[in-house]
Amino acid sequence: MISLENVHKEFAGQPAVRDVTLEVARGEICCLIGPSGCGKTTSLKMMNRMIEPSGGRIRVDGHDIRGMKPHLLRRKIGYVIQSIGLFPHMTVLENICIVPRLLKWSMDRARRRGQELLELFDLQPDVFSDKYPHELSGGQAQRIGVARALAADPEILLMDEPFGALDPLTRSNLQVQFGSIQAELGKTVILVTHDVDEAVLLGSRIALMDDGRLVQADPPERMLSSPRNDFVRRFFGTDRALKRLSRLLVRDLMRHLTELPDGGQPDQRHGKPGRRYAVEEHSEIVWQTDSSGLLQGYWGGCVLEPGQPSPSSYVPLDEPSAYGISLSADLRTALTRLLEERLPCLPVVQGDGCLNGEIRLKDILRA
Amino acid sequence: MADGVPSSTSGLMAASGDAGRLRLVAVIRHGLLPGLFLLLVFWTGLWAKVFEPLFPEINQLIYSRTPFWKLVLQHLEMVAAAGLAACVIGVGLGIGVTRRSGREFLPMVNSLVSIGQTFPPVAVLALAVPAVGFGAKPTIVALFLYGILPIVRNTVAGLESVPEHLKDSARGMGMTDLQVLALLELPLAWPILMAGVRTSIIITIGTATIGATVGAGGLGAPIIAGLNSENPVFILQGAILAGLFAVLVDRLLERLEGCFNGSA
Repeated sequence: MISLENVHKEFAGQPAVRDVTLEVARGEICCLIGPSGCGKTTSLKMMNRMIEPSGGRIRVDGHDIRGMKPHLLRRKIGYVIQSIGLFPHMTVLENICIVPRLLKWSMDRARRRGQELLELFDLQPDVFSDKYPHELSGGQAQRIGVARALAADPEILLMDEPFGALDPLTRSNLQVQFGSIQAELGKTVILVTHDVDEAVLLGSRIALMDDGRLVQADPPERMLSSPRNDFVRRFFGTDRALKRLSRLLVRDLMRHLTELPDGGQPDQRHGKPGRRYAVEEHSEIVWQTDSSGLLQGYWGGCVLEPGQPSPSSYVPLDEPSAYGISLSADLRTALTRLLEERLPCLPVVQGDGCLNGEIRLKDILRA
Repeated sequence: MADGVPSSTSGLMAASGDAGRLRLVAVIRHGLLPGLFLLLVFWTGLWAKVFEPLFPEINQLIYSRTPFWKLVLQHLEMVAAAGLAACVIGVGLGIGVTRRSGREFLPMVNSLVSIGQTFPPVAVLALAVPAVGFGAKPTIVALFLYGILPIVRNTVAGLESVPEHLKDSARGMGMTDLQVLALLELPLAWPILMAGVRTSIIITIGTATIGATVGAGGLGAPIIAGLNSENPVFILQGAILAGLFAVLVDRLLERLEGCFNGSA
């Protein structure tokens, strides 16, 4: 979708970007990351001709962008900057409708599209349409900034530290929301960030730059598991193993359960109606469900603390769905839960509380 | 419940009475000055009534060579011509020197318009008369040079107050330079720009009275005549009318500024 071939940029003789070659495929989220002054923002701004390269070639959708009028090229590419840049004299809806109006959409069509986008970002159109930017919180303003960039349904989205100015909680909410919206829309996204966690969370690929050069461009898992050199290793930090876990899902390591026949362990004295499941017959722990498969409790001595129920005793669960972990949770979250509650394993449940499988600490440590 | 209804009705009536009173206050507030101005322009008897007890030794109490309304029109013509030219050229220069290609002219334009304002208008008149003759023309030239500074200064200040990141985001969305100017920079610069226009027009209205020295007429005519014939009543008549006129025009422009802001 976007390709940079030997792109070079000098500012007054000082090289800012040196010989960068990068190919971003359709639907990818490519995170450009690196220390300040590494040339990541310059690289981004060359893609919509906000900055003209000194050498090399940039293609968008196969066409050399030098052959396109800059303002026409930019109308096809969404652009989000850290300071958001909402126009203070226009309402939220007018702001979102800027690019559609530049493209000569009818007022009606532009308004409908604007309201659609507000809904997509969980902002009620009748509340937010006529507000002015100064009436918004930082998180709302940034969501509207992203909505505005998506207004004319561009194939490509360029984002320059879009979540950088937000508080940590709002930032992580917005990252998750953006991730799920992007999964739905399938845009090609180039995102500049200096936040490693953000790149690992959102990126389908991470391109690490240093001093104008592209050091390594790989999917996050590969960046974390096989860093090309010391710089990459240091950049991703000492907790890269944990970061890598946040890219893996419970789904990937879940063990499947089989139903135990009646009379199997645990013993029948406590005979509860329903079904029992375990990974294998002599598992340390056996999950108890009702007849429809809803998790009820467990049998076994899985709790490591002394004084807890001995093996083969039954522990009912008050809130089985909160106790279990979801299929789509990441392994970092699962590991945190296991360590926090000092458990060797956790049940994996669906949203409705149905037992799905089991995730084991041992498996995560081996991952 | 039973007495709740009448009390709420009376509350409503009180509210509508309040609204009526507010409207009356508004009419008086907005109509007072224009009314007074029209009265003084058309009812010359009023001047005589007021000034007779104050200046008993003066026999000619009303400037009568030209009717006041004609002087007001002459004054308005000069101010409008000079003001319009100063606005068009001043705003144009302000826009020009804030563009990428014109930025290097900013210091030059700044010093040029400063000279324009520091050069005394009377001297401009004296220099302009040989070139364009007597009457309104040299006055308009002098007023234009005198009034262009605040417009250029404020246009530049207004346009430079638009944050760089907004212009960046406007260009990034695919606006042409002209669209950035029309849709972003001018609307945001408007209040500062208009403040400059108002300042310029006010000082132009006051300064236009010197036009009378080169036969341009206007509200300066009674002042000059009063100076020549040592008649303070004439001077007062010219000065009061010019002052009122300036205040009225200022308020009109203030209204214009608000209108544009509301619609943007």
